[in-house]
Amino acid sequence: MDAGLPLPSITARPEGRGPPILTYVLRRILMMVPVILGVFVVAFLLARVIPANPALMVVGQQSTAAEVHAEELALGLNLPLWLQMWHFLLAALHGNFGMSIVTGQPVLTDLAQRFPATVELTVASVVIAVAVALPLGILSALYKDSWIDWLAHVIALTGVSMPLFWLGLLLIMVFYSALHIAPAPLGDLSVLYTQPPPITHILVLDALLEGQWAVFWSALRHLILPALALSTGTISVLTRMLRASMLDVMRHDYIRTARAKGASAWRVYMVHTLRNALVPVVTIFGLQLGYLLGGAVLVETVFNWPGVGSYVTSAILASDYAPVEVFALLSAVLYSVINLCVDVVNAAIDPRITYF
Amino acid sequence: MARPSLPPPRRQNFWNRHRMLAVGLGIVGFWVFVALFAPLLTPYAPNVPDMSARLAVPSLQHLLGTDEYGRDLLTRIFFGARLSVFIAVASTLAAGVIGVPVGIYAGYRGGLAGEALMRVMDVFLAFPSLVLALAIGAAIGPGLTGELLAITLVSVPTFARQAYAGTAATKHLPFVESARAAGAGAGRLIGRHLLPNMFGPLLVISTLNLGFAVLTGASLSFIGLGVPLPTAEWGSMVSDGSQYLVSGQWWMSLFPGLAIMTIVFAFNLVGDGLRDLADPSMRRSRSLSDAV
Repeated sequence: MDAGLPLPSITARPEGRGPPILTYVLRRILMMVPVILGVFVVAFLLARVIPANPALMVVGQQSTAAEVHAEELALGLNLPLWLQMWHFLLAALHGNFGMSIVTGQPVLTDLAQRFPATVELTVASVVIAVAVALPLGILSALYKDSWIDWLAHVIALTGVSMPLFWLGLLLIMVFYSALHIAPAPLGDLSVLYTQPPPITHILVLDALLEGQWAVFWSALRHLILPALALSTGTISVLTRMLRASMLDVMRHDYIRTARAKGASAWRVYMVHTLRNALVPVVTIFGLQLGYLLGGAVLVETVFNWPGVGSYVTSAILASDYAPVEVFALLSAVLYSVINLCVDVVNAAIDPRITYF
Repeated sequence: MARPSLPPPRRQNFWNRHRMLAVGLGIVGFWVFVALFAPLLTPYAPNVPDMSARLAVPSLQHLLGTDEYGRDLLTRIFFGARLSVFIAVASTLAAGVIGVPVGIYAGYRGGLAGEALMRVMDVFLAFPSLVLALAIGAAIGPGLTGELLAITLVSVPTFARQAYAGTAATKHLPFVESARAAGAGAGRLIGRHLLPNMFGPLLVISTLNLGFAVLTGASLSFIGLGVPLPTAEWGSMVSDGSQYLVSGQWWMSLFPGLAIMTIVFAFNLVGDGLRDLADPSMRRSRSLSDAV
């Protein structure tokens, strides 16, 4: 699912006609504004749906009616809904997204602290997904209808059908409980080590940059299983997209021409076909990010990974709604921006795309 | 004079040509059967504890073992199938009933109201689907209502967009124009001409959405936003079992997860198969991105 904005249409554009790419980018950003505003409204309304009284949650069950009322006034709960929404928007624009009841910190601070761990997990899962999907997708296109193609199809279908949290548990069952190869699923580093001083805030990278090999090795071992669990959906989608896209490109005349002029099979497939086949795959990649953000909530919960996902789960369990609301809001914004970037990159590299 | 004989026409069986569809329908049929007849298929009750049979390994007595309260796992999986199938069907139906009219209205009438409706759909699509489902589920609180509402609301835009695209693509085709010229009203045009032409794609989307609904429901229930205990729900069963994973009771998480996987797998197979049937030129590639 994309962010709902019209994709640039692919039609032949006469040389030198059509608005420059900058206009297209500005148009897309302008069209994104109402969607983002809508996202704010939805997030705000969701927070008002909760049956519990937020003021009561803040001051605690034992407090008097007067204390609750004072907190209600402080939170602005007595104001009309549209005014509350306006205050919410203004505060958000100043980076104030409310407090977490559980941690007692601003939600944004909590999220910022935990974001690097989620980035680490997500990037690792993308690396695994590309490493698996690229050969698998290419092979199943080249050997269409062979057993490799069939196997790749089954792998892809299984990958999208498996609940991520269950796959994570299976991996723990096999590699930790049975084989004793993997470390206990308790976060991103063994308790024997202290976190290296942050440079990039990405644990594996920091350990590597500071030459702390034991820490690096421990962090890497903790990273592999959750990243693998998170990568399956992406593997499936990328494999199938790449296969379809390769098959599509292979039908074109220029592939026949390349072959006819005597280019090697490797050159025909890896240079002429693959390069052109990757364009739609890149688009799908942006859309996958949303899936990864949702999946991270499940995978981080299973592996006690110290990222934003496990933070959101523990907030849900504690009926602490602000973190959930802000996480949903920021992931929608991030998701929209990433998809905008993907479209712009595509429009910039593909001369057939007109900017309307 | 012997006529030169042509090779006999290769009459391929329908199910042979659509093996994936057949397998998918078979598995879906199995789960629907289990859901319908769960009480008749097992001698145990799903929610009655039996402390003498606590954490029993799979055996002839308890084919898939028991959980921490000695409840038969197979029985709970069977009864969980009722809940999962119900949630999938109810939320997909609701999403279709809301989404399709929205899409048709926006596509047929257009105008400011139609445009506004589709922009609202865009806002919902701007959220990653599982994240939105979690946010809705958490706002409403644990329980069947929250779960159904979360899955339905997340699915509505998919239906609205499909119906919108279908309406926009067909409403200017000659047969629709001629029906309009012959004096057909909006109701007749939509009911007799537009909807039947969208039926195929909508059926495909619905099938894939069934799988999506089961997965999302399981995820909500795993996080703790499902139907409260002791009701058997696959997601929370996996979650319960995870506490016993390290101590060696592997069956408690394994089997409910397997149930989720097989039914989602089957819905995806059927969805892909129907897509191929509806439009053989369309390859199976797009369905996966829709399913997740």
